[in-house]
Amino acid sequence: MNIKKIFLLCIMAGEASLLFFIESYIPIPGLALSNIIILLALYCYSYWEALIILLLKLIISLIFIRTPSILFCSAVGGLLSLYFMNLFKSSFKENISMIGVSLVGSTFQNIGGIIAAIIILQNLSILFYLPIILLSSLFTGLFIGLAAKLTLKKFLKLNQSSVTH
Amino acid sequence: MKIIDKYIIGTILITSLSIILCRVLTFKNYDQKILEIYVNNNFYQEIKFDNNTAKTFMITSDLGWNKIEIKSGRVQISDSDCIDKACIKIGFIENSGESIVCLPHRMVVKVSEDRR
Repeated sequence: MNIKKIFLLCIMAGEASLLFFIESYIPIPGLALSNIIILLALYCYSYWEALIILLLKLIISLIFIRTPSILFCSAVGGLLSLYFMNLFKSSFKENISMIGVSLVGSTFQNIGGIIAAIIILQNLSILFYLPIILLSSLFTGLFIGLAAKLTLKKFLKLNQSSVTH
Repeated sequence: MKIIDKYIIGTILITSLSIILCRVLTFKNYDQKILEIYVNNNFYQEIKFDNNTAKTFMITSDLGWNKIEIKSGRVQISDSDCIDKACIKIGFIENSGESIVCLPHRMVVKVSEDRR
């Protein structure tokens, strides 16, 4: 862990927070723009660096997110999606591409958000929206995966000295 | 696009479409309906309505207000001071089991049938 890598992780955490801020103004359900950064971290480094970036993003988001329920949904969704992204990536290795991992990530981000909403509301009614949100996460996951795939090459080229693989 | 990607896409598609199919096939529209309103995880109010009821009222809590409109057997949240206004964008609900959720205000509005 050199200084350059620490700086890079901090910048990525800032980027993830910025994307989170921007997506709060876009009314598409299940658009987890910060998953682009999480995916890049997962593919350039490992699970732990991605987890650090996710936790830093949650801390930075405390500054501009007014409602605690949105933060709770994002936290539960982010942790769940990162766990399953890593699970699918490491267990399927060559048979899954970045887009598949991103699909898994966006699906579980939304499932985590619904679980968080059920916990907050103490009411199972929100499960009514599950199929629509799942369909929406299909499209957003494809988009996020494509975006991450396109930036991966440039990202690796720019940060050759501080990336493990 | 590798093989597991296709499995994932297929699983998500089949799961969501089958849930939607089950809902569409079991949707029953009753004439006498009850609107249940839950605020802050507690039961707040119950309103009976049918296809002829036309009502507009406000639900106020310390988190904010929502204006609920009942018209020709359908319910919608017509206005609210919540931050994301997601509850307004959902539009009308009418079938038993459907609900509108306002997450910032911890409010759930649910339609069920009148069995009494």
